[in-house]
Amino acid sequence: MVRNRLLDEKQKSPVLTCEGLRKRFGEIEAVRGVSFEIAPGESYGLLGPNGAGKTTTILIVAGLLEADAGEAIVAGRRLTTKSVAAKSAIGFVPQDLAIYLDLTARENLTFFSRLYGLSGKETRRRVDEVLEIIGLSERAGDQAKTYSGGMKRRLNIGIGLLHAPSLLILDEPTVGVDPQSRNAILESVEQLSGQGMAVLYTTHYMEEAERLCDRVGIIDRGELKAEGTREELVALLGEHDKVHLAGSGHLDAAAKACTGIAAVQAASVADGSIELLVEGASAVLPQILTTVSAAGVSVHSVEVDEPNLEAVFLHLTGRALRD
Amino acid sequence: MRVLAIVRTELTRVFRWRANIFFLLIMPMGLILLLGMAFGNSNTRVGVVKGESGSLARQLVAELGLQPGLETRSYGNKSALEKAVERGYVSAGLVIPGNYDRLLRTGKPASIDYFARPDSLAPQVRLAVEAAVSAQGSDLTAARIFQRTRGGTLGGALERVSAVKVGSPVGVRLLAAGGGKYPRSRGQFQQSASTQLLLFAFLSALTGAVWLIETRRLGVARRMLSTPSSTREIMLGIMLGRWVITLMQSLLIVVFSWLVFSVNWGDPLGTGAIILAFSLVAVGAGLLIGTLFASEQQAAPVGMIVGLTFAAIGGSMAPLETFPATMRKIAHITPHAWANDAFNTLLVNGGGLSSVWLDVVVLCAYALVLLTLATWRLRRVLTS
Amino acid sequence: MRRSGPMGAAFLITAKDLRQRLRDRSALLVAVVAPLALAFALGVTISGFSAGSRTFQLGLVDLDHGPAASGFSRAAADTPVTLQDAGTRARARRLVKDGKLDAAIVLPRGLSAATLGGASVRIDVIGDPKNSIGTLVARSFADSYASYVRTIAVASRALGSGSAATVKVAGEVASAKSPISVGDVSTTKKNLDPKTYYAAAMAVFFLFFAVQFGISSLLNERSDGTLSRMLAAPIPRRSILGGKVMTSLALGLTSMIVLALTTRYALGAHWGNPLGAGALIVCAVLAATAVTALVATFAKTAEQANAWLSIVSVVLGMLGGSFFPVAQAGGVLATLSKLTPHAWFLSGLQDLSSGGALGVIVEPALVLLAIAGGCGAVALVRIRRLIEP
Repeated sequence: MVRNRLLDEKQKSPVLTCEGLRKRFGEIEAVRGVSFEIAPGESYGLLGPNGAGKTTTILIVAGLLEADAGEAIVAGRRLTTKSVAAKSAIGFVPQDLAIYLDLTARENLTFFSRLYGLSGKETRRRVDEVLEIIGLSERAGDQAKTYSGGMKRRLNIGIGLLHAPSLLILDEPTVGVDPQSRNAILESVEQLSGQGMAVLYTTHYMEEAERLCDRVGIIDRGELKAEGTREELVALLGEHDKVHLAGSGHLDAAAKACTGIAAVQAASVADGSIELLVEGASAVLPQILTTVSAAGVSVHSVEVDEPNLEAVFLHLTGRALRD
Repeated sequence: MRVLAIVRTELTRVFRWRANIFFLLIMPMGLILLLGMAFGNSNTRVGVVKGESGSLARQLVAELGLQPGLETRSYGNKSALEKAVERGYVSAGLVIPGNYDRLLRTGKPASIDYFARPDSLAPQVRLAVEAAVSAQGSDLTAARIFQRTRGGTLGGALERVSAVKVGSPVGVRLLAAGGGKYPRSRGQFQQSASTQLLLFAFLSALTGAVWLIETRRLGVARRMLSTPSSTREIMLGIMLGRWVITLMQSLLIVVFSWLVFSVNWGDPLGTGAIILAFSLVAVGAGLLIGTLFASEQQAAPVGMIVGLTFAAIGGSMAPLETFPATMRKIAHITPHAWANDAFNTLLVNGGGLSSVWLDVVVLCAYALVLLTLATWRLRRVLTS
Repeated sequence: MRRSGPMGAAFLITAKDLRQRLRDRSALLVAVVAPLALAFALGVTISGFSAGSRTFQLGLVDLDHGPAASGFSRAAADTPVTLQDAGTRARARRLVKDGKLDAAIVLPRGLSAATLGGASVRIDVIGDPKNSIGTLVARSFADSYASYVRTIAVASRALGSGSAATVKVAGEVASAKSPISVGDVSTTKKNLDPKTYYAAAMAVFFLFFAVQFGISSLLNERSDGTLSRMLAAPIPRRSILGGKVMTSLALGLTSMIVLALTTRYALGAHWGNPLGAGALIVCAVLAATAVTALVATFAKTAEQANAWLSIVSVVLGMLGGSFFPVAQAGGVLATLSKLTPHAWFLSGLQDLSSGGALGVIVEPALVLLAIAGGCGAVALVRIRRLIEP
């Protein structure tokens, strides 16, 4: 029983703990005191524009860069560029393709598998598994330079999975990728995350962060501005949904009538449509529609804009997420 | 004109890369400098081991030193001399046995060991050594005859004989088969200047292979094809660019070696024709290699191998005339052999363009074949 | 999960590198094909230098119609020279010009008379300047006849005899054996054998190109991004460096050993005592790896590194005597030559091939190791900044 509890304890302890990471390059301080935690099996997104310090943070967490200050602890072990043991728990998928083009997929995977310490037998088994996962079993014997862009990306990710790491780090894996491959990548990450692998995912695409990540950390100019689940972050704004009703009829009267609904904060009319600022639109939408129809408006279309992470970012930094 | 535009771009690209400046310009000059310093001095050095020097031995060495273009250097023992010859400090070595004087003065024959570096000077050195030896041998033979006739000691006979001041009633004159006096030996360095020129021109043009691959890889060549220019125009532009570069290099070598080492390049028209034709061959070879390989990493060593091997076989490292007969025939597979022959005619026989026109024509034929093949390959590769 | 030890990781990296190099064949070309091709080309062409391997066709134009001609024929016996009657001077000239004769000797009228104390005459040697060796051989014939005549003249003068006695003197001189003989022992000296020299010279020249692949691949992997992967893997950084160094060593050793064996058995080059040659090879490979590593640390990209390495390799090769004996130049150049690993390798090998005992390699081996150590140490310090993401 004690043992189980210890195991439980271990499982409860975070896979990654970053405390006060700092990194300076000459004049520029790329990372300024970043701290966050990732629980086992959790997928955590680092969301920020280009130059926010995402990649630098990633490089530190992957053990490629030495932080000037602060520490990172992976699976209970302190992580530095020299810590060989800690790196065993991390899988790394860099942003740019890092594969050997003149080797086959199998050779690429075998090499890195052995490098990560798997024995010959384990390697063979694991390589076959990963080839299956990334869907390259058919072309495993061809040199990587003959692969399409999407296939190369999949191999890039596959290498990170070989040693079944506790934490998989993906640095902007979908930048410059065609929509089909992008979808495939996102699906694989979802799958992995579902299987219990912790994922650290950096991106500047809000949709990806929203779709994939349990929690999101918003980073800008080297600082972690806020973190939490999507709802938590959005709640920071206390912002309201926007409801657009396009219709014809007595729009002004309808708008006025809507202000009577408690959840509606504001109402305005513009260009043949009614714009409402509503708290929790999904809950009161039926009520709004009824009110508007009752006021003599026939509704052509309804649009609901929920505040999203981009808005959160804008609110926190005053700048847009996408450049 | 479109072709000129291609030429200009190529020249800019080549010289933007500083390593090219080294390979194309500095290295050949450096090598010429090195060769000039190594072989330029007109005196060939012969090392001698005298042992306990008797007067006859000393006389022999003195006689050797009198040979035109030769100077002697003394060594204490055979192994030191061997090492010196091996390393190249001296071109040949002579080991006069310690009992040289004793043997000869008692009427017995003496034998001298001779060994030489296997380079193009060897035959001339051998001749000089034999001349010095035969001068002393002549005196000894005469002395012995005197002694046999008049009696007395050999030493006395030698004295008597040495006192006789008479040259040989028979003189020797060298004539050239083509008429006129036989030209003085060009010296090793003069000879090497023209052959080295060919080596470098060929080699550097082969680096054009690497450029072409880069162009292909960057897709620029394809882009050029999609313009109104035909493949022939593109090849023309590329070829002209490379030709200009190779010619610049050749000009540099000619001027540099002429200024610094007074190398004589013979009739300007003839030399010019050879250089123009040979450079064209080199450019064609380089471009053909460029169309045969997909990666610079493969083309560059192939270019180097072909360039250096052809140079060696074609007489640009060791002179053609030292080749065994069959090798000499085989050598003419390479354009270098034809160009070297032509240079020889120009520089040794003092001919002009009219005496080398055949070689120039052959070189042009080479160039035509290579360039046609290269154009054909390039079109196939780019449109496949 | 087992962790691969530092050595294990290094070997894995070396194995992968070698597989890549084999696949693109560039290493094969540079490390094996190039030096072999050149060693053969040079060895085969340069071996033609020893005049002893050729035979010469000399024409004789006998305008004298006296006993002198038979003297020449006798002298030509037992030599690689064949004397044939060329008829007239004009015909001889034509034959030489057309290359059917190596040279021609014209015996002038009155030669036999001059031999016996008559008026001076001149022997003409007709040669083709393009065939200077043939001309020289003919010249040496003519010279020795002239010397023979001189001997008669000197002896006669010394004896103060009249013409009858001169005939007797001539007879004695003709039958006298030359008191001094010159024995050409060049071919017995293995260390002067050009095949050996160029086999070794090309091997060590291309060695510097072969070992480039190890260290420049480090730069390549850095720009390709795969270096980051290796850094992220649970292996110590020194394994990465170790792997790359071992790649260079493997390529260099393979190159030189293949070359040594091939030139020894197929070309007839003499590499001397195998232990000594092997030791020299190892030291040369170490030196080459260290030098190329040092040069590469000054480059920012793989392309730059390759360019500089090529330049350095060519300069060192030229100075070190890979293409011609720099020692002949004397002075500054000979001293500079001693700074190159090439020169020390070649001199050690020459001493070995001439039959020297193992001890002759100690000095060059030590110098090569010193170069390896010195350059290697500096390279190690500088290389740290290369092994970064």
